[in-house]
Amino acid sequence: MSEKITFQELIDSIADQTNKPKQFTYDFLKDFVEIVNSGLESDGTISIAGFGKFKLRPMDEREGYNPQTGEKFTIPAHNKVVFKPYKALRELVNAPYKHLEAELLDETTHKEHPPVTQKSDDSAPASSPLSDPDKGEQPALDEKQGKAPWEQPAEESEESHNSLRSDDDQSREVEFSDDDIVEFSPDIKITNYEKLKSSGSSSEGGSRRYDPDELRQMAASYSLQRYRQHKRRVKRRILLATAACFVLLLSVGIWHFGTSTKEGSFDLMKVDFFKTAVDTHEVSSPIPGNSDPSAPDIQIRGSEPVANSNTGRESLRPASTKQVITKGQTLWSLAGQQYNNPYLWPWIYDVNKTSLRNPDLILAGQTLAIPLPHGHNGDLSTNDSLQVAMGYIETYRWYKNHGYSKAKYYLYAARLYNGDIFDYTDVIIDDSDLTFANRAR
Amino acid sequence: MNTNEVVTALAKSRDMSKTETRQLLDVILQTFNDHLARGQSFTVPGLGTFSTHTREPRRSYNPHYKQYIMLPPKRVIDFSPSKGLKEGLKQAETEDE
Repeated sequence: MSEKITFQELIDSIADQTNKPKQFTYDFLKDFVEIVNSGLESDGTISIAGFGKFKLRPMDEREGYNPQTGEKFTIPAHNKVVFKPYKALRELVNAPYKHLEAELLDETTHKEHPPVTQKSDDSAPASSPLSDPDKGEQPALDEKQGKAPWEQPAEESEESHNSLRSDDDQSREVEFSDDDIVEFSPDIKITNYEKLKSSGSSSEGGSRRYDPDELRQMAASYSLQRYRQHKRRVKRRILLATAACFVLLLSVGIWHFGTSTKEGSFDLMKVDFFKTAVDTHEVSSPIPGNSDPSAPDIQIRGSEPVANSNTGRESLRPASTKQVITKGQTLWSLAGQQYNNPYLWPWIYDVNKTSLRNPDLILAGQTLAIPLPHGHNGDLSTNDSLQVAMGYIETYRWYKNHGYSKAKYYLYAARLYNGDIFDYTDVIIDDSDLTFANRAR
Repeated sequence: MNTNEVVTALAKSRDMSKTETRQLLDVILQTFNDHLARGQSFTVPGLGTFSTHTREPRRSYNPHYKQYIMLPPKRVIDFSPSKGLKEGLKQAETEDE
């Protein structure tokens, strides 16, 4: 990959920069090399600022051979010159890969390299029994590898791996100690293999001597059992997941059924509502028998019709659920849960404004009515968005009355949900807020 | 032997002022660095060959944390001393013995 530069080119480029004759540069370099050479001989190290360090590294005498003749000979002890570039130079050279960092590999990645395990597994049954230290090491090797070959077919999640390990740690315990202690005591090996043997139900228990075939069989049955155990676990998990899916589907079905029946009566309801809305607005004749106990004291002149229309539609509309507030919930989070759109929270506030004195405060243990949207797939119908707009108007009023400057944004949002909302309400709206809100399309 | 000593020795043999020598040496080393940064290899006669190569990304193990890590590719400098440099040192060795 690296392209070569001749010494001549090197001299040329140096001479260019120094404005010195090439011959001079050449001589200078030659002297420099000589000094480095002599410095190495006298000192053993030469450090050159901005470049690196030349160092002598003693090499021991070693055996070598001539690759052409195959003849062996000894390489005498000598010193080797090594060059260690300084950090600045190292970083300069590594600039193209500077942004890369070492990344941590999780267990799953090194599971992809089972050949070592495979090998030890194969060699173990073939070698002679008990006395062979290799055999004692076999499980320990598996342990280190973190992955035994028979676990391969199962899903590779670390969780399953851990649970498997914890499950049969009775037999694994021995291996752990094996791994930690390094030297092998014969006892451990024996218990290990007796376990192996007892777990292998297919192998006969009578014989004292372990011939390789038997051992292989034992190992196989041992692994088979472990594999079965794991498989059972995975099966159970799959069963659980299926059950959860089923329950989910069932609940979705019920919900869908519920909404579809509501939709049937929706058209009628909508007409009714509009009628009441128009009635109350234009004539401001309250619906008979509608004594609104909710009408809050803070309501100002002319807000009654709105309240009336509210109660009117509430009586018509069964589509709301009750929910008890738990700690940590907010109207925002409730709306997010219910409609997948937290911005609809003023709707909930509007419906519950009798019990809520403050749109920013709900208490744990309170029961709130959560209105349900009537459109398809949980979308808002025109009616719904009008109600949301109403909710925003209510929120606006509360914020305005309490001197919040953010009130105008709620007016703006109200207009977003229903363009004609200002015709339906007679909440006193500040002129400047109105101009701000009218910018909404 | 540090840079100062090298510069002193060089200035003496070249019959130049130390500042001048230092400046010249800096330019030379800067040129070396530039070429290496560009991935170009060069040979300084009597000293050795400087070149670069890319170290492939590889898996490694941290025995302390018992973690496997993936080391990113890296470009590193190779230096192979020239024959003269090596032989000179061998002779020095034998002379010592």
